[in-house]
Amino acid sequence: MKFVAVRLVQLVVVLLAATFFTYSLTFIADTPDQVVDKLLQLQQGSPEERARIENDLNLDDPLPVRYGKWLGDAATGDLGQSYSAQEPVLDRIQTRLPRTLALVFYAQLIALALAIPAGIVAAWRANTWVDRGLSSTSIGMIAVPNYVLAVLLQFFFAVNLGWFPAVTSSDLSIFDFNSYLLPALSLAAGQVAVYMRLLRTDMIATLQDDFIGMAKAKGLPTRKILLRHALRPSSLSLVTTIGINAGVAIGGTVIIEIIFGMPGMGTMLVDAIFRGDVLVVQGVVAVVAASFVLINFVIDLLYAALDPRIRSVRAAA
Amino acid sequence: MSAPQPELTDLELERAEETATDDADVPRRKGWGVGFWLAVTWTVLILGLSALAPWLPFVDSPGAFGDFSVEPSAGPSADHWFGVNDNGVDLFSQVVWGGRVSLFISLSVVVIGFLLGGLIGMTAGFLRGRVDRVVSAVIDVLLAFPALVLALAVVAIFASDGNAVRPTIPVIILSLAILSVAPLARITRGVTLAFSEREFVTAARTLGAKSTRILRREILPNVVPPMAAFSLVVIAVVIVAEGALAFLGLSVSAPAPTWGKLIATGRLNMEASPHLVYFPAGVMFLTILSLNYIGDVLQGKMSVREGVL
Repeated sequence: MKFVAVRLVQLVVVLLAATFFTYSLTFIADTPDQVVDKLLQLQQGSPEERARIENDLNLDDPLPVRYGKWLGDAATGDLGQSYSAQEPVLDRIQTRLPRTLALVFYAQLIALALAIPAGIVAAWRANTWVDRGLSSTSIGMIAVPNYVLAVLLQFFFAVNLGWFPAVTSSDLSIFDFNSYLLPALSLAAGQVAVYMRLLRTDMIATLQDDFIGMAKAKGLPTRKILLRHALRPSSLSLVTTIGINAGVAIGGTVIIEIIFGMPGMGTMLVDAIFRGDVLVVQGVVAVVAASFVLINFVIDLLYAALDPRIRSVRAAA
Repeated sequence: MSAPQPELTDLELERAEETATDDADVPRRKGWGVGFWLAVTWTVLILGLSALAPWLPFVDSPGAFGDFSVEPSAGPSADHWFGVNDNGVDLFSQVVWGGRVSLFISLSVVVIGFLLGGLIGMTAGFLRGRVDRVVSAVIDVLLAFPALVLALAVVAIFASDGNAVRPTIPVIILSLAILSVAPLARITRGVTLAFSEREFVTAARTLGAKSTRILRREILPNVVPPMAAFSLVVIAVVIVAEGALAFLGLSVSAPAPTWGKLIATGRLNMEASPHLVYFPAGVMFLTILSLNYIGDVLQGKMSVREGVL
């Protein structure tokens, strides 16, 4: 229970810190008048229009009060109005968030599907040519920025070979695997290397344990020892890192979405940035922060499920 | 090692902390290896070209007009080693100038991280207790939050005039600083924590040395080498992150397009002239690979010094 409580406090702190940071940035850089100017260049601005925006953004109030009002509205599900799209920020986010989360999910799935077998083999055959080959490959993969990989994959498999769409449709469904494959692969490649190395290190340590020797002595097949006995206790730091990487992955989606023209949170954020649409930027950062913390929360619960020792230690504490 | 995303994973940080602090009971490889020297050669080459760009005869100045004697978007030739772009501008020169900007930004970001992160990390590691707990919690949050999203927000807000976003080099440096401060603070904290326990620190304290003197004379010299080794990895991360911003159109336009920007513009016409993507991407890949590799080897070697003590 204590562990859940600590996590919840963290959730709130991260949310407040991230949103207050972006919120105050807007008004450090620009005076309230300039904020309105930026927004009005998108439309014809009459004095009434100016007054309406000033009222919407509570520009008469001092910064902390204004932030407090934004926060209060946000808590009740009102993230304000997007001035460029002429619709509530929340509506836009609702159609786009699932697509971005799906991208993160598929990328992690691909990364794990490649990293777990590779990590097991590397640990099982540690310090042989197989292991060295795998780790050299992973060093190389880590040095390829995801956007470079995305550009190359898009060029070869979508433009040249035409196997996949080069640009996704504007009403992309989250089950459109054909459209998701290349973007997810671009995001996954670097993580494969990280996960593989992590699993390899832990697995080598686990394979030295007495219970593995016992399993070998009983004459169990290698396959069973590796998958049934060694994998689970070796996967703890891997699971933790997946949680930590959720932030990295969410950050990475921005650029991948732009390259493949995916209508997700990333394209929405960049678009809003170019238009000076402050409430959209603010809303996206808040939602990204919230999903990031929630993903980590779920990962933590998973962690406890994987290792009963942690459950009991935490229950005792 | 750095992930292609512009953030550091826990794994790398932990490894950096471990290698920086553990004692040399593991036998170390003698010598540096061919790969290490190749990586150093490449890095020196890139740094040299970037630093000397204005004076090198085979590098055109950034504002130079295109060469009209060749086809637009022509591939590599004796005159134009990396080919030319659609305006006939020499790509090799653009890569050199872009690298100069990318590297200047990355080095500045790492210097900020070194000073600020070092100060925060040493303070937290040395004082421990409540200060350490608060600092560590903040660092953890910073490390985990999608830094690129925050960097985007910072660039957008400081560099937008409503019509367009035109970041200057200082704005880019500022927005990327978060990427270097948090990891370097965490490494420094870990190393400081380990060294504060050592005999020579106890000895200095017994002799009546003040905390500031212990920090400066006993701890600082030991903390700097692992920080420096780790900084190489951070430089690679920042180069990638700057490229990401450039890809989103949030990069400096003067004096020259950075590597990320070259790739981003090159990709628009990849079918006709793929060399416009291959060369900048290849140079970027080799540079990141080299920096990561050197950083890795140096971090591994760090404990040798410990063994000698």
